[in-house]
Amino acid sequence: MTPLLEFDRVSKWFRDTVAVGDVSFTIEPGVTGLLGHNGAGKSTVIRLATGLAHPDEGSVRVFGLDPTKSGRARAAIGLVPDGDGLWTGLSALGLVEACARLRGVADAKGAARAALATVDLTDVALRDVKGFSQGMRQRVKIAQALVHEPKVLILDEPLNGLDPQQRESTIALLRQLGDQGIATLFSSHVLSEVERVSDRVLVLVNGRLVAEGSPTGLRALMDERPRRIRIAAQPARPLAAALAALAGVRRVEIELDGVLVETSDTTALALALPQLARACGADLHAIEPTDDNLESVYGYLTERARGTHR
Amino acid sequence: MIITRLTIRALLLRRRSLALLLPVAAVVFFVIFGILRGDVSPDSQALIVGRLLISTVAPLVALVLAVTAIGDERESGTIVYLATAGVSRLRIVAEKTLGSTVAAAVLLSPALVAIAVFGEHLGVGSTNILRGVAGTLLVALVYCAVFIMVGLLLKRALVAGIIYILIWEGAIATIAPSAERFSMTAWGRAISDGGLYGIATDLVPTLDATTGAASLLVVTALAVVLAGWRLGRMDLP
Repeated sequence: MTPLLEFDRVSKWFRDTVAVGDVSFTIEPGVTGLLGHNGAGKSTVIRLATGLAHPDEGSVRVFGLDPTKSGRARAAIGLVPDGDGLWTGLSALGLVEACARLRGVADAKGAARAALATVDLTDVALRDVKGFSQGMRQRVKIAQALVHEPKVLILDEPLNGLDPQQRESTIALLRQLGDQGIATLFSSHVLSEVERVSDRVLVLVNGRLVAEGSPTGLRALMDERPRRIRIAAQPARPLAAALAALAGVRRVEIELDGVLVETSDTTALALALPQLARACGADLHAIEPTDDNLESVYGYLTERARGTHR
Repeated sequence: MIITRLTIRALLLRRRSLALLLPVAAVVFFVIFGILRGDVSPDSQALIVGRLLISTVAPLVALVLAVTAIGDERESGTIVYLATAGVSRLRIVAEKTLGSTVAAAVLLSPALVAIAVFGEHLGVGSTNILRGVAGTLLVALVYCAVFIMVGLLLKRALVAGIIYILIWEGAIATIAPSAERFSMTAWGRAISDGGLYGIATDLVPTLDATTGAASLLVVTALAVVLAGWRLGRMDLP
């Protein structure tokens, strides 16, 4: 069966910079999260998928068609772009209706009303989008992407700029669309968001696809990685010696005000640390993970993908 | 025709577009001035319609609107809604050309009314009045098509267009008869001034109206096709 969206060894570069390098994946019905830090190449992947950019190598296919050449391929996609631009001087209804007409929807006004109801904007449908908050504009963008009932929905950072309540309703909407069988690809740099919405996650680092799989599989992969924990304690030397003998500890460095531990078993460290400190006569002042952020997770996955992680 | 409607709306709602009424007002001013002075002749018609409206004002208005028609969409990012809608790039360009021409016609309308009144005053006949209006609108059309294309090829299309209008159209093509064959405004003047009798020799067009109109339409079609091809091959934001 022809995949809804397929990247086959796609590369795209801007002068000397590789924006996307040798990326291959397919998208099927359900929600796929595209996870990566800013500048990882997520927007470039989305531009390639929607025919806005041409690959320098490899091929992108939507229903087996090249989206840069085929209007039919582009018409099968609904895109929520990252940019904030909307045609001004139009009401929300007018704007979504215009998008429906562009896409040749038979009952454009009816479809526009339905799409605005889906994103909960019926009450303000006749208001000029110029006065809309960022969250409302984001929902108008989602409505215009849904108005022609696309088979593939692509959203570039759709949760940016939303307040917590709007974020929750958008997450619920994405889940609902995925359950309806729409192949949904959405990008984010926030791991927890991607975990909550996606059936499948693609992790992009510096333009390369370094991991893909279920959110639980990805989480397990991330939990496996060694963690670095800074322990502010005095005296540091006897505590460092005791920690070095602990199961899972790979490395211990003595610092000015304590020790820096690299361990693959944070639970064992957490359980043993109070006893070890007491036994060494060390006072514990602070315990702080130094790599508990997405950058370090991506860094680990990158190194792992390159086979350089020890 | 939704892209055409969106284009007209966007161009006419821009506050900056109002500034384009200044050169249009210059045409109205010269018409009123001419009528009040009383010593007008068919030469005045050829000078105001051919040399001022068709050679300078209409190209300038069309140039600014054409560059804005796609430039603003690229700048604001709204072009992605057009580019991903499944419509062909050629249709986007063709509708953008039509939309910016209609917007130009709306902004030029005070000048078009003024030249009609002026023609009536001179008694040049309704055919010559219509030829003036048609020449102006066809020049606006070709300028919109050409400068939408140039806007897709060059970053500084507006500057390039102004230089082109001032140096080629405004100077070389008006003083060198052989250059008229390659001047879009000369093709427009061939339509507007070709039917005027008794005008000064240097104001008589060297081309006939049919050649002028055909040249304008061919260049418009070529520019639209080339711009559609270019838009299809460029990466969008």
